[in-house]
This record gives sequence, C-alpha cells and structure tokens, in this order.
Amino acid sequence: MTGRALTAVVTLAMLGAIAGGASQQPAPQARTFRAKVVSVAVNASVKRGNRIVPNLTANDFRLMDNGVAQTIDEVSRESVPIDVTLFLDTSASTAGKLGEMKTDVQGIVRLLREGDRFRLLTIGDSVYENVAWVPAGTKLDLSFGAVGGISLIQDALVIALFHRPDPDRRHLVVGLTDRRDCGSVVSSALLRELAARSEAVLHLIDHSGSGGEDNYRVRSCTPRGRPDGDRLLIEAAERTGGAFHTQSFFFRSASLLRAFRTIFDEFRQSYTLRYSPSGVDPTGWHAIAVSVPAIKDATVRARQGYYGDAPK
Amino acid sequence: MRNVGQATRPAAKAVAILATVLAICAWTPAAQPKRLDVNTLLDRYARGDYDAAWKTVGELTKPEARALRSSLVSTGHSWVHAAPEDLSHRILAAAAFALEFEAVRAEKGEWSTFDGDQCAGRCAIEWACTILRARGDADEAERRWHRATFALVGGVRDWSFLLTPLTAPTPRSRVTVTGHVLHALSRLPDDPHARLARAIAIASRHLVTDEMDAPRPGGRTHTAMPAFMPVAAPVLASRVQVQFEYAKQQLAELVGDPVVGPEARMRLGYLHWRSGQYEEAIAAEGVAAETTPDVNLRYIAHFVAAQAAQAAGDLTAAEELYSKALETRPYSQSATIGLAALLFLRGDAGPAYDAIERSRVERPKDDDPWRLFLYGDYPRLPDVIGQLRKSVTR
Repeated sequence: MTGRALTAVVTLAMLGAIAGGASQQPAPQARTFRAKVVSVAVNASVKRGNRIVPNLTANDFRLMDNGVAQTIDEVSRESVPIDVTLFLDTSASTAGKLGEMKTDVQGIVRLLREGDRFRLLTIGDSVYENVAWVPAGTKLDLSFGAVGGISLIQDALVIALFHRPDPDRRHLVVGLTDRRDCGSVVSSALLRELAARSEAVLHLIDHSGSGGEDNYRVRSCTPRGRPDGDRLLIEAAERTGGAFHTQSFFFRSASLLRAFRTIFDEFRQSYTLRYSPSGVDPTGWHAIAVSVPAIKDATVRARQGYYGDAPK
Repeated sequence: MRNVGQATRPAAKAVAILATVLAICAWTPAAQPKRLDVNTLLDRYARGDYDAAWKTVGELTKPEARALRSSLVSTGHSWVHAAPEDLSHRILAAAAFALEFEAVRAEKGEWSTFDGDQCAGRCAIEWACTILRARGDADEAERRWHRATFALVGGVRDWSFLLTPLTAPTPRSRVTVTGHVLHALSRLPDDPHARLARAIAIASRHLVTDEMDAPRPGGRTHTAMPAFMPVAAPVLASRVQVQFEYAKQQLAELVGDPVVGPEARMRLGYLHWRSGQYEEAIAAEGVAAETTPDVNLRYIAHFVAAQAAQAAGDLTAAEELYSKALETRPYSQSATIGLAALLFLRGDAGPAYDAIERSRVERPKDDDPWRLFLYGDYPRLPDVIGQLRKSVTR
C-alpha cells in the first residue's frame, strides 16, 4: 500500500469515527468522538460548461473555511462505491406518473455499478422504505401506489439524509418530487439547515404537474408551505453540493434517465478534498467555499459547510 | 374506371361489416355500466355479509357507484318497508349501509359535492340521518352511527358539512347555522362525541400545515406564512385572532368532560401552539397527557408540546418532550424525526442516525397518530364501524 493510500485509509477511518462510528455503536460513544475534528472531506465537482474538468491537483483548488484559507492535504478522485437513496414522491399529486416511475426506477438501477448499493423511499401516511439496501444488479419487485393526503416530502428527505456515513462509501440522495409538501414534521427551513450538516449529497429532480388531487378525498391535504419553501428546498440540495434538475416536458422518461446519468457521472468523477481545519474555531458551523482560481468559467459544486462541534 | 369500381366493392363491403360489428360491440350490454340491485346488497348487509357487499361496492366504476347511490336514496325506503315487523332493524341497516358505502367510495375520491353528482357523500349521509328518526328515540345504535359519520367526515375534511358557518358569530350576523352535527345534537343533546365533533369542526379552520421557521435556541419562531398586504394586515390579523379565540372557547367548554375532556384539552393545546401561545400549549398538553388513558392521544399531546417548546426556543425541553412521546409510543416516526432533527442540529449526528434507523426497523409501516391528526376522529373509523355493525347484527 502506498503512503498516499495509507493516509487516505487512516483519514477515512478517522472520518468514520467522527461521523459516529460503526452502525452498531451506541450513542454515548458518538458523543465522545464528536469533539475532535481531525480531517474534513469535501466532495467537489468541477465543470466548465457541461464538461467535467479532470486532472486537478491540490494546488488548483482554493478552499476557505469560515473565511480562512486552508491547506488541502489531499485531492483524490477515487472510484469508491456509492450508496444511492432514491426518494420517489408517491403522493396523490404525482399519481399520474406512477407507472412510468416504476419503469424509471428499473432504468436508474441499471446505471449502478458493481459494489454500489441502492434503496428506495416512498411516502404514504408515513415515510416508507419500499426497497431496503440492495446491491447493484438486484432485480427489483416494485409495488407502490399513490396515497392521498399528507405529502411528507421533507420528512422523507431527512430520513434519506440521516443514513450513517460509511467511510468506504459515498452517499448520494436523489429525490424525484413535485416539492409540494404537506404535513411534514420538518419544515423546509429546517431541512435546509439539516442538509447543510449532512455528509450525503442531495439532488432533486422536478416531478411536478403529474397528477392532481381531488378535494374531499379521504386524507386530503392542502399544502400550506411558505412562499419561499421551493427555494429553501433547492438551497437544501445546493448546500450539500447537489442541485435541482428540471425535466423536459416531452421525452420525460429519457430526460429523467439523462438527469440521473448526469448526476451519477458528476458524482463519480467529483474530487474529494481533505484538509485539517486551521485558524478557525473548531466548534459550531463552518461555512466552506471551494473555487478553482486557475480556470476561468469553472463551476464548482461542493458542500457548503459542516458542523464541527456543539458550541460550548 | 370499371375495374377500379369492382376492386373497391369488396373492400367497401369489408369496411361496412367491420363498422357494423364495432357498432354491435359498442352497444352490447357488457359495455354498459353494471346495474347493481341495491336490494340484494342491502339484504346481504343486513344479514351481516359485509365482506361480499364491500368487495362489490369497492369494484364499482364511478358511474356505477353513482347509479347505486342514486338507487339507494330513491328506492331504499321500499326495501326498508318491505318487512314491517323488522322496520327498526332495516332502517338501521340501510343507514349503516349508506355510511359504509360512502366510506368505501370516499377512498376513491368520490365524496365530492362539486363535480355534478346528483347525490354524493353528503346527500347519502343526510338521507340516512333522516330515515333513522323513524326508529323513535335515539338509542345506542344511532349514537354509534353518528359517531361513525363524524369520523368519516373528518377523513374527507368536509368540516362545513358538519357545521356552517364555521366562523364566530358576529353581533350583526343573521346567518342560520346548519349542519349534520346539529342534526345529531338534536337527537343526542348531551352526546360528548357530537359536542366534540362540533368543536373540532370549528377548530378545523386552524387545523393546517403551515410551516414553522427553523428552530433557534433561545429564540421564538413562528409560522412562516405569506405576509398580508400591509394595509389589510391589522384587520386580517384581528379577524384571525377572533376565530382562534372562538375555536378555543368551544374546546375549553369540553375539557372537564370525563369522556372527551382529555382530547378536547389536547386539541386546545394545539390551537395555543398554532396561535403562538407556546407556554399555554405546553401546559395544556401536559394535563392532557396525564389525564388520557388513550396511548395515541398521549403521544400527540407530548408531540405537540415538543413542537411548542421548539417554537419557544427551548430546545432542551423539546428534546425531553419528544423523548416522552417516544416512551409512550416507541419508535413512532414523527417524534423520531423531530428528535433526530434537534440532535443533528446540535451536532449529535450518531444518536440521530441511530434513532432514524431504529424507527425504520421497528415501525416500517407505522400508523403514526400525529400523521392523521388533521382528520379529526377519522383514525377511529374502523373501530366505530365495527361497533355499528354489532348493532346491525344484534
């Protein structure tokens, strides 16, 4: 094993410990580790126009942590397996597209590579894990239907994001939704805060105008979201380093798969920057800004911050 | 030309035959809506053969269901009077059938009164309510029937069917108050469930899903609703306040009732929360949780108190209250999400991940009581229909 690889393994192991340890680990241990932030990993994709920019080194990046320039210890473009959580908005307002959705899911799963894992969340009177974690290549037996009433989009996204990070994998969450939440415990404003602290990358794909809900249907729900709720959801995705994607009205299914392919490609080819924060208070919220000064017109998409430790 | 004419003649014949066949196919009885005999269904229902009756009703198309509903209210009385010695039982069976019919069809989105239906859900329920009076003084069976109607109407959130108007009367108002719940109260004046249904209908104007701002430790947050136009803001805010107080008053009158008091108090606490009176909300929910024997009500009381504490900026108290809710009903999804969000927000990611994971494993398909809070007594509909059936089958 090379020294660089060894460093990566050690760093990843430390990150895992910071993030909360193994999945069976009881809660108190997570509290103990949380206080020491040793290394921070930032997933960053760099594009010029629609093309991914390859072969960048640490010297090409500029990373600010709470406004303080940081030294990047390592830049990697590892081909680590990914965990994909797909959230399908199966509320009544998307009922018209359920058949297509099932076909779409099969197509999406075919885009996975060996070693990747997949799970599917849907919504009804609660958030359901319709397909638990399965390896790539698993033939899915999908059964879900539209459920009238409450539309727990934000709660589903929280459940999707709150998946314990695995140091050997990266977590991608993709939500296919019309963004018309109704009745979630978590507001769009709170979701934005939580997403910003998440280790996962969240992408949202527009799925609006696909159903239509009757008034006076059992468990009907009238969305009373805030006027800026849509923007907050999009910002939630952006804060994780993800984005909001629209679909073509025509050729919808093809455009959906194209959006997924773009998301997967971008996620797989993104850089992982690692640094040890210096010159900043280790506690509280750390705003991160990543740029590539040497390349004009470069678009950098990266998580916009992380949570160091609870302020004392 | 002649040859061409000869060649086209067989083709024309084939087209004519095909058109005739298609016309016949389109006209065959199979293409017509299925006409169900309402008397047969009523017989089955009165005998207690519920599953067969509801399987048939559930499979009807919308036009077929409409035809059956129409048949029920126009000719159902003939079935009722066909056996005078069994009149009281037949009236009850027909009324219960109408209610269950609408419960099944409401699941298919057919409660609507605005889509040109001659007689939709409201109409069938009112028909049944009317014929029940012929049984004489209201009894336990009728009480159960009314309770089932409140639950069904809660499910479709047709609150104005229960009571119109839902707003507070003004000194100059000359509007006559009407509604199904008043019919129930005229038959059962002291029935606590009817009185609670009336109060919930009035409170329903505030049974909403307005989003709150993200919680801030030590800072109060409020609902993030569209701002009123500056000129209208004071007037509208004042009007909203009047309606809140009116709804609270209806519930407050019931908090001492031994049957529905705890639920009335829990719902009163909810209104305090929605109107920004967080401390009052926490106090009311505390009493409701202590006094109710119902696990689901206790869970909601703790959950609402947690939301109120969160809005008040006391995130430590909110965590404790979410935890109490989860002690009452372990791994429930709504309180788990509320608690996990607060833990994550303050940096305790590990416990937040654990809580979500355990909820997923322990309650994969949870009928979380909070998720159905918007729908009044609807979560109890299966139970009250079960009780009603016992009355029908005697």
